[in-house]
Amino acid sequence: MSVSREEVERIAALARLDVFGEDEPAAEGRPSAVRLTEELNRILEHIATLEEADISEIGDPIRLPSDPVPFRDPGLEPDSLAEGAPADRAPRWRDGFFLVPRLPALVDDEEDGS
Amino acid sequence: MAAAVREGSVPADHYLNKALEQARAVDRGHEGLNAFLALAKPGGPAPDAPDSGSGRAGETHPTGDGLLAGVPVAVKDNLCTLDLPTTCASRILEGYRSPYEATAVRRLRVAGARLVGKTNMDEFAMGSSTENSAFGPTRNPRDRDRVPGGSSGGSAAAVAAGVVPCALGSDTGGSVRQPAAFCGVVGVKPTYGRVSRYGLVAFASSLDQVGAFGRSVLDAALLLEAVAGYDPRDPTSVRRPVPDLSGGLDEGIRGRVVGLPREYLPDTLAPEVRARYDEAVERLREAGARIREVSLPHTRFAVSTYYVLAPAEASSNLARYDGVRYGGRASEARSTLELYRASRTRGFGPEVVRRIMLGTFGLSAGYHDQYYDRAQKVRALIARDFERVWADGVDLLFTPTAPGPAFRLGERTADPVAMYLSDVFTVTANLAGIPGVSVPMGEVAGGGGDRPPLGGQFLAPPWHEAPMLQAARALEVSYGITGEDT
Amino acid sequence: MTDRAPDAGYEAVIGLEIHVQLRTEEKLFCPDGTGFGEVPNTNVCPVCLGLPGALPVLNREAVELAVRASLAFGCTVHQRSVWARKNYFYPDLPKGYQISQFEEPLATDGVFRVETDDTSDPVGRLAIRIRRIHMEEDAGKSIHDRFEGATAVDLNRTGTPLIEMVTEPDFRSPAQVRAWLTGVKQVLEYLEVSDCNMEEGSLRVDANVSIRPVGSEPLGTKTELKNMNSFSGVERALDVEIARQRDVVAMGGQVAHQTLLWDERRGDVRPMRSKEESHDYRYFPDPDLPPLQVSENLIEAVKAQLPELPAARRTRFREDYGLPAYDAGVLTARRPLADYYEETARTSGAPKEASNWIMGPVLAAMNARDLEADDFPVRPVHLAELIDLVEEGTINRNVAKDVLGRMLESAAGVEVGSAAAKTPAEIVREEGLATVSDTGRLEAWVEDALAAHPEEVARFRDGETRLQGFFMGEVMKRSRGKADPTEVARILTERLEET
Repeated sequence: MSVSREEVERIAALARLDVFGEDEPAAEGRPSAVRLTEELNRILEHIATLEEADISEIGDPIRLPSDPVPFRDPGLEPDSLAEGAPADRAPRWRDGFFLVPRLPALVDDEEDGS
Repeated sequence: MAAAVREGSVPADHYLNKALEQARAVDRGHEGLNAFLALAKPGGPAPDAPDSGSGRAGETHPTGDGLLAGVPVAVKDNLCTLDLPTTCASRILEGYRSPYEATAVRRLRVAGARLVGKTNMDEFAMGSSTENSAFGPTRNPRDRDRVPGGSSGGSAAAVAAGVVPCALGSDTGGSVRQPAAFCGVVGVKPTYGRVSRYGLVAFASSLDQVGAFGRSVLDAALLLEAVAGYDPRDPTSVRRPVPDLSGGLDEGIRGRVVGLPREYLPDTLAPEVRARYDEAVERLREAGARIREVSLPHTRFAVSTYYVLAPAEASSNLARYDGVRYGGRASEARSTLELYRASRTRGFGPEVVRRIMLGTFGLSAGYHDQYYDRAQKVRALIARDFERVWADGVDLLFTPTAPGPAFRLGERTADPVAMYLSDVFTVTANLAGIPGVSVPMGEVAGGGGDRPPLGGQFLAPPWHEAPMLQAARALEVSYGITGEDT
Repeated sequence: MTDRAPDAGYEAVIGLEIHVQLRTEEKLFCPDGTGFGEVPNTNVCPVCLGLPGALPVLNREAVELAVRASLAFGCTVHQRSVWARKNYFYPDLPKGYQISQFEEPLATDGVFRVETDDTSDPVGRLAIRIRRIHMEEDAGKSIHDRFEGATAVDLNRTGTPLIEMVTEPDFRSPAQVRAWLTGVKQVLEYLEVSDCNMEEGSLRVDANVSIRPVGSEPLGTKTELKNMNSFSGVERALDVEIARQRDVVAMGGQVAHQTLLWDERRGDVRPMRSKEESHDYRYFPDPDLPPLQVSENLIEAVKAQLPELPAARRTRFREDYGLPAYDAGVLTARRPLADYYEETARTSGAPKEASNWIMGPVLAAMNARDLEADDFPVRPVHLAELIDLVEEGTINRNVAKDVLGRMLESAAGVEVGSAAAKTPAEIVREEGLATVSDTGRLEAWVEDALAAHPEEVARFRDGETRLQGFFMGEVMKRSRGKADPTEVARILTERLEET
């Protein structure tokens, strides 16, 4: 099993990571799609040994721990947010809200930011 | 130490201040260890009084009696602390301060321990050498040209350098046991569910477990005892009493059946490693252990299984680092998509990117069955191997902790697969959820005139930490390690 | 507006996905409150903010409510179900994944029937199969119109427990959808599982719709409709979309698979902005949460506590209280009202009268005050007392209506059910409203009325007998409504025919 550069770019988009292609200039911190493709293929080559395992007898995969999920203790309080508000850690915050660049909801909304 | 502080013959801050002094002496500058990412202030915040009611309802843990009174402890930087930042050695969490505290850290305080600092690690615990830290690699105190192992390399180095008698780490595929072996100290990974993961920043949730380092088995046992126990905030922690791990340590290994799994002793194993291992087995036999060869036939699939499952879980666990609520953000981004991509690409180092890619791939449509689902089933095969061996009357398994001693800085950074293979003997315990401990097992010739240490690993059935640590203790005693007082 | 039947030969095929917020005190995986409309980003903690290291801990109450709903809709509740992560990036999804259930949901294979007047259904019952019900956590809210150029994120709602119900594509018209949804909502309210407030988002309905030639088995390409915030909105959106698909096909085109947003203001559907990549949620079992085990005991306990559902109650009201179908339907529409009726009927022993009172002035007063029956200040015991006063003849019906008004006045500002509110008997006594049947007093009022209107008396006696009503009114005026009308009529007739 090997993976193509196009596939790597699709996966990167899915994971919200930026990679640069052959035709783009390298930028600091931006991994190269070509190199990632090579690396992933080397790893996948190793992982391919899994195909040799006989899993025919395995029904449900194991779960650790084997007990069912416990229910919350009725008295459990929410853990503290120390200094109080999520505002302290928010990169952008206004009037009690986290802010991000405007997300367009509809096709004919204006493109965000441009 | 703890006894002296409890009795009041030594001031409560004494050992903390000495540890901080020592840390400053060895950690910084050219050839400094770089084991710490943050140090506490001298004096530090006062520990909780054991009787202040800071334990929480519903927890089962035995301490609160000053088990670690005044003992300086270092904590891996992926455990949330209130007073010091928690960065996971990642740019994306640079300067991040958790508003809440990990259960393991809180229990340390309740036991009277003093937090010395946060230790360096591979970014988000992804790595086997601590070279994947965004804040520079940690050096091995035994030989500063070598890696300390990873991912909990900072904690291992802090103990090996004598800064602290014990330290907390986390072990997802060997991240406590392998650096313990590389640094010549003891590292124990308990049964999955033994220690709360609440406040341990997740890498691979089904494999992650908080572990303990010590100069000796006793130090590690005391630390583990202090942090273990059910936590109502972690649904994977298990409601079981915590045994007295430190008390019966000297019960020895007489009559125990110790299995030697042949899959952990491949022909490719370096002859010197094999020689040290065989010597250790002799010592166990002399101590009264009954030695038996065993087989765990699915071991050869372990690394592949691990490198499908751990990245898959990681790709999901690390999705929260998006620059919206906390952490680093690409502030110039004009759209939210751009914000995500730029913040994450800039914030994560190359190994984290690789693993997120690998994990996303293994879960994505079209590959899910072949990778994730299949690996889950192979994981069951690996766990079943262990169950068969235990059912066969084997009490413990003994293996080398790693195929070789600590490698040199930079030696394996270019080859991810070679790096991954250094986990080959440790990942199985995480996949099966069983406990494991690494203890020093002699030294080998390092090539540069140095003598890098090796580690031997005991594995035990779930919840059998006590006999496992007794065996580890028996082995270290045979090497003349007495275990200083903690 | 309903049922623009698809043009010659085409029928619509509709399935629903319904998200229902469960009415729990606390969130699904952390103990924060679930209140609506609080100060933004205040009902949050490390868990629902998705802070590093936080872990989910399951709320038992949410599981019980989800089991209750599953049983009420005839589903099989599975003893084991599995939490799964649904991975996608959105600013109001703090962890980058939603904890849901995927391959092994809580419950499957239900059927829920509602009565309809749909003529295409000979038995008047619309049976829709429910494919599955699973539990999941809600996301936060993204507010796009508050700040210029920015989307604001409020995470108070994050982690609120939801069930998602997925139906089979069993609907053939938007009217069926509306009727069925009304029944579903009624049941959910009866179960006290949810507030079912579409405007506040505690009930959200998405629809899948396609068209196909009548008699053809395979389904056409479906579109997904979102953003409807009322049942009538659902119905209208479906009408519009079915018409659009019909037009596409009529023009020789093909319906494209896409997600459409209903625009209530424009009465139109618009495609959602296409995502950068196709949906790939990469579901896998959540390693933080072992599987959910719902024991036989828990299922039995929930079953034992299931309230009587609306359909059963309607039947019983007709049988036990002799109510017509229409009355039974109105009175069982909401559980608090049905409870109110039932208590009134039992206490008064006059079920038909109780129905008349509640369907008339009581419901009018509730609606005017926008109150649920359980918040209505006149409690069933007092309404029953009022009915008794009429039945015994202590007061007449008109006076009784006034007394109801006084009861409402006296209860204003007083806690519901408080002893400070006056009982009807107290009001009747204090204000001397009891019917007067005493012949002496009645005769005096009659004399007075006749004396004041000699001209009308003369006209009556000349044969204009319809003036009887006029005299009746004059007597009632003088008695302030308290005169026993039967007695008055008798005396009037006597007096007018005397000479």
